[in-house]
Amino acid sequence: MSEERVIYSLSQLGESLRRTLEQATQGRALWFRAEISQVKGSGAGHVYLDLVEEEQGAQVAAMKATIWRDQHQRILQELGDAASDILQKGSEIVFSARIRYHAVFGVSLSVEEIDFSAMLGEAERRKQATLKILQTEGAFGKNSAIPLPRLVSHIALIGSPGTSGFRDFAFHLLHNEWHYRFELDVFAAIVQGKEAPAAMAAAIEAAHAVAPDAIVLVRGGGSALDLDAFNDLGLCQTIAQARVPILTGVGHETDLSLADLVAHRQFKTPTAVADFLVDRTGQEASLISEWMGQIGLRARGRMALEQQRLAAHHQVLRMHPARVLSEASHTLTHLRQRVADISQRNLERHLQRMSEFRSTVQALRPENTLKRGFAILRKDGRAVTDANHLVVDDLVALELQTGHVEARVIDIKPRDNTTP
Amino acid sequence: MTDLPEDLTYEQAVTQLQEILSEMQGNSLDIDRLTAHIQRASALLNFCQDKLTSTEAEVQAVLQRLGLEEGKNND
Repeated sequence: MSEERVIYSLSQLGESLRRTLEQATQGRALWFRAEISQVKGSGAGHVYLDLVEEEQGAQVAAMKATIWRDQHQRILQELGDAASDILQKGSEIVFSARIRYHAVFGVSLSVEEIDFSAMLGEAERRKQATLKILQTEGAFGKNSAIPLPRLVSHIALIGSPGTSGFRDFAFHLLHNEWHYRFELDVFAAIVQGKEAPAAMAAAIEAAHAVAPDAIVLVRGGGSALDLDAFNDLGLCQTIAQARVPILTGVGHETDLSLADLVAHRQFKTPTAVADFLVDRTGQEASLISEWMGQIGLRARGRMALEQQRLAAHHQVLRMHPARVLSEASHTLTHLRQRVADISQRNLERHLQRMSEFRSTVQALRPENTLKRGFAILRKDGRAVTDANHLVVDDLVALELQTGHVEARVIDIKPRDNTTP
Repeated sequence: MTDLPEDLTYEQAVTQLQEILSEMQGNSLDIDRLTAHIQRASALLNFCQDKLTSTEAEVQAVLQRLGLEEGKNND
């Protein structure tokens, strides 16, 4: 070799690479799309990301990125509540970054801003495309055609046990004020990120094994972008083909996810699903307690009717001897009255007679005879009624009405009894 | 007579209760069957109520099984 070999140090190579990169980009930030495979924060407030690009499950590119503290704070302000959902494992982001080369750490991206609306726009386009496919497949209305049992007490819960949505649902349901009974079978599945749709679909399939009254799919609140998992074609197809009614409580403010639309019924939050189920059981409970009252009432009514009938029979039976007695007693009274009447009349007749007697007796008194001018002639104190008992010169006494007269018999002419 | 089948569902119980109620609505039901009906109805009602409500202990047991028991995490 005639040419003299040039030997570079690593730092020279690095410096050369750095300069080449700088010339190519002219120090401008460029726009990229990548999926976050790992997020790490530093104590200083910087955020370190591992970014990947996958194609059919295989990584085709990977790179590290950093969000420096100042940028991070600005991004947090811009994204607001959605920030924590966006800056997490599995999330696909659209961002601008400067390409850095460091002689020790190699190539990395320095993130400047994250375009949330672009991300939303992409998500929305994907959603619309999936919606069309689901429509042609006739996926809508399939699950809602399966009737929800009147009592939904055995529930297969699909969600992520650590999340607030999961806890909200479980507490609301199980700690219901009225102690309604619910049986929960949990099928854990992650609800965010790339793996979420497949995990939830598998959980739905698995939940069929316990033959629940309903399957409930929950997720706590999150950004609109975070709903992406619920717009997944595979998940929506699984929901549409489920043989059990599926209720969703995915926690969203405005837009419904496609999973909501293919499900039996959707609710805004996990808590709302729990409330619905508790209310539904409450309706059954009031029906049952109303029936308790009604059956009691109708039974009592029927018994009362029967008792009335019985009482009527009883009355007849009881009245029979009483009537006989009463009739006898009546007869007796009547007789007694008659006896009394008769006695009274007898007595009166006797009295009448007595009074007649008394008049007669009165009439026979000698005084009354004397009054009429008769006189009683006595000899030796005894009344003389026969002239033959007297002789001339007998001394006799005459009793007149008003005194006694002493007299001497002068002549006696006995009455001839044959001449009146 | 009032023993309920083991595989009785809530829905079946409700249907039977409806039948008993409508039979009791008229007063045609004869009195000998009334007692049996009431016994059956009250067994069904108890069954339904039992399906609807649970005890505090049962709730706690489920929460514990789910690892969601309140207040225990701070202990």
